[in-house]
Amino acid sequence: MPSAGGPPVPAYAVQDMAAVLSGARRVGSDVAFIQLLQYFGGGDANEAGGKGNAGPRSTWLPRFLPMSRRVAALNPGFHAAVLFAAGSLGFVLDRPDEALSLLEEGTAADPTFWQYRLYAGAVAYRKNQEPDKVIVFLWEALKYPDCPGLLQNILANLLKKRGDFRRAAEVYRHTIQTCRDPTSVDTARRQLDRLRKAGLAP
Amino acid sequence: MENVTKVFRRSHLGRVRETVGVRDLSLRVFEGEVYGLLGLNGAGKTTVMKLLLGLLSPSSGRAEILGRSPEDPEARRAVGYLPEVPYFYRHLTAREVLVFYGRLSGLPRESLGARVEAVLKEVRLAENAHRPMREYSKGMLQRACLAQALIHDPKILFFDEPVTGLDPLGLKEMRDMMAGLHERGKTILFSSHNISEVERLCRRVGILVRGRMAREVDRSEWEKDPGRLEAIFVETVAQDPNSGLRPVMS
Amino acid sequence: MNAVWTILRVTFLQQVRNKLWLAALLYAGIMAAASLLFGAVAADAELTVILDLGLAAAELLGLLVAAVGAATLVLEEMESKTAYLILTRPVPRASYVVGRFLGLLGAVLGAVALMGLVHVGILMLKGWEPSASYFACYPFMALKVTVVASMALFFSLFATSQASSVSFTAFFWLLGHFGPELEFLAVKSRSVASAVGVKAFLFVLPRLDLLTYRDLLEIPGVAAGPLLARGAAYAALYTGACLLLSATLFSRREF
Repeated sequence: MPSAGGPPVPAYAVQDMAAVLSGARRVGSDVAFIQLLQYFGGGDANEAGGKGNAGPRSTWLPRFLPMSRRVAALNPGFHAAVLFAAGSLGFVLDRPDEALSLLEEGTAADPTFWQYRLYAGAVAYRKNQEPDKVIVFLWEALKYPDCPGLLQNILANLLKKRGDFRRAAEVYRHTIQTCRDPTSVDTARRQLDRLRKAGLAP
Repeated sequence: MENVTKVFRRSHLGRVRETVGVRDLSLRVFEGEVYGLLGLNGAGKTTVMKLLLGLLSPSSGRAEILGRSPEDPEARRAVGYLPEVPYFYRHLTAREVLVFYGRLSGLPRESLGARVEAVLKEVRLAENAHRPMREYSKGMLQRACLAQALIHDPKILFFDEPVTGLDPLGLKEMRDMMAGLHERGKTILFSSHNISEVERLCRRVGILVRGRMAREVDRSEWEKDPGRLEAIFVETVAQDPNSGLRPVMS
Repeated sequence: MNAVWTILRVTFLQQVRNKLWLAALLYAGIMAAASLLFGAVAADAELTVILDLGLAAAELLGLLVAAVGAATLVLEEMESKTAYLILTRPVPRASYVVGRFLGLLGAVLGAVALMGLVHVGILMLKGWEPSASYFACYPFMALKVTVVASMALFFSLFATSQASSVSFTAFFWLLGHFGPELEFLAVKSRSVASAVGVKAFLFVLPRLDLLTYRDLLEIPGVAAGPLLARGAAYAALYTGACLLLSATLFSRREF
């Protein structure tokens, strides 16, 4: 478990302490993850780096990494959350170093979850702007149940950019069938529809 | 009971208050006797019962049932208790209540069923034995209470204000049952405010005044003189300067 | 033993008739609402969230019912004087206390099992695949409920009111999860007196961190078996001590 040099997000220290004190660490972690999702979805109106503002993506959501660390600190076994957070940092917020740092901490906490290394590989190639290699790693990651819907859609987008519409459609179908995130499923449905209408996929 | 004193200590806001329940009280009840305890409210009647039932321990002196401590299981097996207010599990039926108390009294499983039915018949509750206690009237509850006191066929019975709150018919029923138990050789200690009931049933009466046995009266003193027991009671109680009673005539 | 069993049975039925099953109904309601809500907001982690929330809610409801039930278990009978008709019989007072406790425990654990069934049903509707580690959480839950209930019973016999008894229980329940942190404090403390004091306090405090397996789900290298054996031994000792103290206190009570 990552040691506490202090609470990852001081604003939530009392909430996290309450979760620990009542023997509900995992529930505390789940709530922290939902708060992370809400932050990712809407940002914080009081924050300078709000999502969708004029600056580069790498300046958006400045607290995303500490909030992700908070989830992992409460529940080091919450792989899906770490993968989602790393994927968001690496592929959406253009902060691959933070993504790699998070995946490294995840690996240290749980060396048996080798998929962290797979995603680290994908992020590393993203950083080096080698999309073909990113595709290889994410395609491998797709086989495993914890692959976040966000990354599945990113993989499909990369495939479309390469002109590989057949495999992109395959990824969208996989997302629709297996993903629990309604937003990702919705996106996949719309994109698959478009591909079908354009005659680019069965 | 021999020279029993019971002091109640209650602490309140760091101060300890002592109340004397009974003081230097001696009492003997003989086998097969019906002994009555009379006294004003707070005289110590219920305290005496509780000391003999093992619900309280004496601060000094000795209490015994058949030569044993009231807390001895053998002593408890010989005793049946009818409290002033019946305290039952309201969701249980009379039958279930008797099975419950019968088991706790050590009755064997094989004979328990038959014994329960016999007692229900004796107290005239057989027809209502399937109903939960919360549906019972005051009189029915009192009969159920008597039933649980009798279920294990004890030698000694403690009745604490058994006729309080009963209507005239209920009163007669209770009196007849008690008389019947006496005829069967049961020893009965009963406390009451109702002097006429005590007069009818008791062989001897102890009059308690402020925790002391002020006087014991034998049946021969009132039997031939109706109302005599009441006069003795009032006289005894009036001798206590704190009784609030002043002789109208002397 | 006969007296214990007889009292246990009546207590169990009393608790069930007191509508203990309403706790299970409340749980079902909470979980149904939660599964709808988290389906919308938890993204890929919907199943994880429902699983964690369900386990935590079942445990919390079970603990609440057990603590409040135990706090009133003997006190209620003393106040209503229902205990008189039992204690004037050849029933050892310890048997009375143990029988009442076991009856309550049986009813509460039954309610928790019912909540577990509801939870599994909801999870399976969401496509969950059962795992042994999930089911391992329930014995730990049962041990925790047992320890907290025995503690609540003990407090009820010397606290001045039911409310203060429940408050004490809640306080010790909170601190009971802080065992490792208090141990750390004891080790780090420079004062011998405070180190000894903290260690003594730890001895008295229920070590609920030993019985919270649901927070260790999916943590690598954590096997339920040895933890359960250790937890069960600890719970047996702690509960036994609380019951012994309760029986001793009760045997000195006057009515």
